[in-house]
Amino acid sequence: MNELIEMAKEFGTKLYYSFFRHRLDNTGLTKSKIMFSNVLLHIQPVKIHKRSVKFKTTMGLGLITFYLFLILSVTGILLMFHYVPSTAIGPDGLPDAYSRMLNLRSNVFWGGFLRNMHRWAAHGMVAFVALHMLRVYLAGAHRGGREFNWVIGCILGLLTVFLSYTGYLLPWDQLAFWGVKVGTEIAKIAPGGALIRGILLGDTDVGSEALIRFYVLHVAVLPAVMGFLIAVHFFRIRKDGGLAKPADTSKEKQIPDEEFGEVKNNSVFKSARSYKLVEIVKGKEPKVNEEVDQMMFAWPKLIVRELIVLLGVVAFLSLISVLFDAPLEGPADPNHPTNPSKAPWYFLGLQELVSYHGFIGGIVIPGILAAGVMVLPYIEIFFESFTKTYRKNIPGVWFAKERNLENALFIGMYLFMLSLIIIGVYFRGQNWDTIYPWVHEVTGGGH
Amino acid sequence: MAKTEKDGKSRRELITLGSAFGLMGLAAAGTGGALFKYMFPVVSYGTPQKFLIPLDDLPDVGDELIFDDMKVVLRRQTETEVAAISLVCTHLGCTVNRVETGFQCPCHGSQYDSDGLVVGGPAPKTLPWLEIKNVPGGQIEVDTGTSMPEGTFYAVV
Repeated sequence: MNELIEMAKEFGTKLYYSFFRHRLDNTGLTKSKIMFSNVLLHIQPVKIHKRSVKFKTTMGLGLITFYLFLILSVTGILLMFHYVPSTAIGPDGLPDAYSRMLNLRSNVFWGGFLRNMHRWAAHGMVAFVALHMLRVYLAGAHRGGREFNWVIGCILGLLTVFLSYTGYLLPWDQLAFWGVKVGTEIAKIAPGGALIRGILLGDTDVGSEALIRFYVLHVAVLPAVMGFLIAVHFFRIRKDGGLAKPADTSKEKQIPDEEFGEVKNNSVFKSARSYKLVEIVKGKEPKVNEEVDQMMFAWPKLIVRELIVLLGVVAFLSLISVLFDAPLEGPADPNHPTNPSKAPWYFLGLQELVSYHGFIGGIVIPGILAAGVMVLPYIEIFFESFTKTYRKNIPGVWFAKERNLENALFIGMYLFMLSLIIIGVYFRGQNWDTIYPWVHEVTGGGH
Repeated sequence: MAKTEKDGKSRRELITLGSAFGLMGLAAAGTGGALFKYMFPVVSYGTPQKFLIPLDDLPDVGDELIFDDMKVVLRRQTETEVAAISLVCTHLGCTVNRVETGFQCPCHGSQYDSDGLVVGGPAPKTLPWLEIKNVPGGQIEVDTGTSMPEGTFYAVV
């Protein structure tokens, strides 16, 4: 009997070590191995700075954005099983794409829930991209060698908006049709825009060809580009040494060691960041002793915290998706726009601008803003070089005094966009006339 | 001697690198151009630009009639004079609504008078007046791709 147990144990051990390549104990070696022998976990470093797990460092905004992207990928693939990108009129007298929406909503088990989740996650992702960008700027984390990663982040932000835009065409309802109609008319007035419009629409006007093209962009091209750029974005954070932090963190209040659990040190280098011995790291000297008290193992504290954020996001989204249905207007009618015809909230700022002047509001101002924000760190460097005002750069610190001017301007830009969006959502009624939400009922819009 | 050898080596390296990246660049440029042409539409599956109306379907004298699918309003001034005005907003392409004062766009609030002249909002141009031709078989042909000066009426028989 004992022999049998021994044999079973041996078999079990062999099985375990064929799946995992580490033990399960408290030694630093194991904690390291768990991280770098797992393909998903090895994206993160074995040891991270303690301030990385503090809420106020990042507020988890980038992580939440990434999780929303993952949720969108999963729900999106599931929705693809029930969707047909066709405008052909079916037996029910509705375009195929639209009747698939009704089918999802009323017949398919979980269909409405998944569609709600996809829509609300998309709105959330646009919002969290904006919040993440605000956080990065106000904490000065876009400087100090991270300028190009800021540019990649901006491209990711634009891709997010473009994914939302191509996505809300797919239901082929009134919002979809007129959103794309107006969007591509804006493209037409840009220099060389007629070509871009032709390529996007595949026809002279919005129709079945446009639906196919937006569909392919939405489900294949843009997510692929986005996935690749997310990888670059994360890779560069790793290579830049993790989250941006000030050079000296010894005076910052950190989470006490007890919180991270016991680490049995079986290393001969009692205080070394052992993985650094095999890495060649840029810098004056290997930082063996100075920072080491402020480093912690990523396993399990960081990983658990990340999982908690994921659970929170999924739980919150599920709740929202159960409580609120994703909007669906009437089937696309190319002859009659709804009145008012409003885009989703994140485009209403643009729509408000466009209502003053097509070219200036639709091309010039958004173009300058997007391009300006994208090269913002380089503009800062330019001014610092030419005015010789080399400011002390304190990355990773909120509202650094040295950056008051920049921060105020950036917050001002956000407030400008926000007020345009609020005007578009609440103060525009039929025929885009000014209304007051406390007088008239607010109608229309993709919310 | 050693120096020239080194130079020769770096030159050879440069040529190798240059041709490798150059060929790759050429291939990428060619593919990009071809893709552009591939993506560019050659056939339109959409609504035709010109459409026919039988003379019997014309509005009464002094009245007008809206053709929804074509986004055109047909206006009859006298027994033989007819004009067609496009209902596509010159701002960003929404379909304007006929209202008492003229036309109004629900998307961005452009306003036109009943001749299509801009009286308010972001619209940059007058609503296009369209060309009308007489075609055999008691029909007229309206071309939605044209833009005539406002007040252009056509004689129909």
